[in-house]
Amino acid sequence: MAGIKIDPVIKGGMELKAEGTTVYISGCVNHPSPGMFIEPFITEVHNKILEKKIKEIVVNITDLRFLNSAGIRELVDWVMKLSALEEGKKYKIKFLCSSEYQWQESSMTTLVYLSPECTSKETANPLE
Amino acid sequence: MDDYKLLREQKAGSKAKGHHYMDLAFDREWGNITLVKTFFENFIISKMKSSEEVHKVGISVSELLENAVKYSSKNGVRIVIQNIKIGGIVKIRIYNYANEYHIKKLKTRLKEMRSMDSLDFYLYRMRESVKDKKASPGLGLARVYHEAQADITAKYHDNEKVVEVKATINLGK
Repeated sequence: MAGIKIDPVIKGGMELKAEGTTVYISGCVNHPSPGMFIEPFITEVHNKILEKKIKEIVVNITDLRFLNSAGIRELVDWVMKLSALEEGKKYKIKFLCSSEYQWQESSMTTLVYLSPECTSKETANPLE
Repeated sequence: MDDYKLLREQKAGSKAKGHHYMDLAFDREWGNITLVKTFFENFIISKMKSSEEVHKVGISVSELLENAVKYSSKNGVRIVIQNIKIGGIVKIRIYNYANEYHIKKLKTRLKEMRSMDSLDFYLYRMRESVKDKKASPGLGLARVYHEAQADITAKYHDNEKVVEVKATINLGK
């Protein structure tokens, strides 16, 4: 399957990169306006997914220790943008989470409720 | 003039026997949020047994402090944490200076919050947060309500010059 490649963005305590059909978001996001870095990156990812007609992408946040509410909003924006696409253009996002970070369980589960037809969540290292 | 004077004058409960209590005032600087959150988390890690308990307190401290730093009308933020004990009912109080606009906004937000359960309120705020990307996301209280399952109330002191937001978290739940 054709993938995407976007140069890493390392700013505001986080690293964003895209390789193949996986987007990696890692670090600790406490910046007051993380949208400055996240929004242009996500827009580029979204446009390339549409351009290459990719139907499923993994967003790996297993190394994202914390994401403040301004950062959560950027993911919400992506999901809302995706669910507003016409049917033939829609793709699926699978959020790959870590059980190590409690915020991921509650916030990412809630995020998936926004658009269950386009998003899903999987835990990479489920607790026994 | 002491920036913290009026904040420190507010009664914030007392230390109960066998429980830990912390009271800290600091400058309204964004970088202080992570420092204070980390300080409290490290303290709480030494007292609590589960990462879930630490998370509930940590997320509440972080989001409520972000709000205080963002909305405070002048320098100074005070945080008091009471009843730190395994399985206890932790009370987090945040004090900051306020203006009329933000008090009105807070009252509206709390009224909306009380009309929904925590999941519905978080989903509602998520949808609202992207309608105006120039405005503050307004997700902090929803996050504390849902992720920490906190009961959130507010009090206004000294003719609404000071706002006190209290999150009560039952760690035994």
